Amino acid sequence: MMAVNKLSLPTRVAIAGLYEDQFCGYPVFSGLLGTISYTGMLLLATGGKKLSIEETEVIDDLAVVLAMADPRIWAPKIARLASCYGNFEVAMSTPFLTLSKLIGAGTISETVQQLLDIKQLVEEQKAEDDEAIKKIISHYLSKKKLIYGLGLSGRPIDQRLTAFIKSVEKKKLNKRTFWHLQELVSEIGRKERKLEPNIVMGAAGVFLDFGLDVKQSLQLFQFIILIPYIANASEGSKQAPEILQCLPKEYIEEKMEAPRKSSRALGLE
Amino acid sequence: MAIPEGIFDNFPSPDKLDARVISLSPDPAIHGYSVFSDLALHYNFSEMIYLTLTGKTPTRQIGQAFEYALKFLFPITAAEAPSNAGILAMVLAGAPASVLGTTGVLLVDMARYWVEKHKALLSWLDSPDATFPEQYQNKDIENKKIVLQLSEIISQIGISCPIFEHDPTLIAALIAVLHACGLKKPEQIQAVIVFAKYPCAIAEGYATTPYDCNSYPMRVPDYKYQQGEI
Repeated sequence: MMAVNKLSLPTRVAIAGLYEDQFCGYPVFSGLLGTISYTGMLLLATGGKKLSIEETEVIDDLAVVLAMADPRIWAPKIARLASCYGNFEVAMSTPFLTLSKLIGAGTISETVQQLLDIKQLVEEQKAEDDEAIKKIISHYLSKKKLIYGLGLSGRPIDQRLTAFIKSVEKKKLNKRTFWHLQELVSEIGRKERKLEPNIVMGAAGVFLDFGLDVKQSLQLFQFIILIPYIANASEGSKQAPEILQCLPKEYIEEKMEAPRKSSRALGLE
Repeated sequence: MAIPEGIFDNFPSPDKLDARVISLSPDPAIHGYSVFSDLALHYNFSEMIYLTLTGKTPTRQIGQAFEYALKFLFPITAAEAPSNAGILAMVLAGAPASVLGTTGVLLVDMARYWVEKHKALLSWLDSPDATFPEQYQNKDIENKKIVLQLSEIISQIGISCPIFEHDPTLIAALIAVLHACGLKKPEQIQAVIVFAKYPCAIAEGYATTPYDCNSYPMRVPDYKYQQGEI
């Protein structure tokens, strides 16, 4: 019998020990327990650095303001549909299957990248004061058809961002580089494109100030926005309503081809 | 700091993954039958599905009945949750892969739900001398015509299916046909429902304009908020 080589891959995630487990570079019981929150653990899991409980509180606040869970909104609605046969777990797979680059959580990647691009331009052009930075932003945005982190539907301002700004200010995190940069982008977007910033803009600023990159920001955001899905999947799976399993006929508009015969049915082939 | 030995470094565990159905040869064999030099030449696609699920090649009779069962199971409308979710997935994510994934997950759960709802039918099919469970009796006139059509096809093929004497619903009749073909396990029936309906379910999502949120009826159904815990 031919010998099988031992297959092996490197990992920095974890090793389960007899008396102590290791997780992302830290001993779990003697290094993490009591010094980090659940949100902090999420951040570590995405490859981010260990933040203090106080710092991660701002991400907890972000999760709170993102609890816009109205089941009529497209994203939570998918959890309602997916839970209609009574299965919570099935519904909880949908946020990951329907991530959008244009709507909701998926726009965080593009928004973070946008702030990083602007930051690079600011450094290259050695812009030092806000007025010089705003000129760079204005020029950058003028070349973009679609600006991420700006724009809302159905309301004049994003009430979530208004609340989140207060939270960031209260924790004195509003003087950091990327938070200030997103404030300037929001100001220019409002003035020149008549677009209000949305919560994703604020989230991008905080994530970048905490050292997350594009991918890590997306991964963390996907978990922060789970609350609306959980609530809808929970109630939806309890209701398991027949009207969602199959909508009544009168709610369907048929827009397909008119009835016709196939060439085989007509004996033409 | 040195990392101590982990629990799973020496945990008893096999060195190989077991493959029980499909061989790894350049001409893969399914349950021993070569795909390229045997099955592809002598069996149609649905018969290959049958073999994969049961381990047996179907007779021509069984193959035909199974093919008809798949065809009758084939449609699923936009009204039903898997297709509805496929449409919403395209609206939200704008990506065919999202439609495939979301629709697939919902179809699997719908099939699980249907098979669970037909548990008593499966017991009756195993012992058809018992009283026929009345919840599977057809009350829809339109449906009765289709069941009659299926009954005639299955009878012409020469497969015995006593359920047709009991005026069953279409889904009950189709489960009975699958059972008569030798697919008696709930997981086999669940899989067949998923395979049969998947093309129609994804087609509605694929026909939807990506990101066209305004075209999706957000208040169907409408939700009225009430204070209190869930």
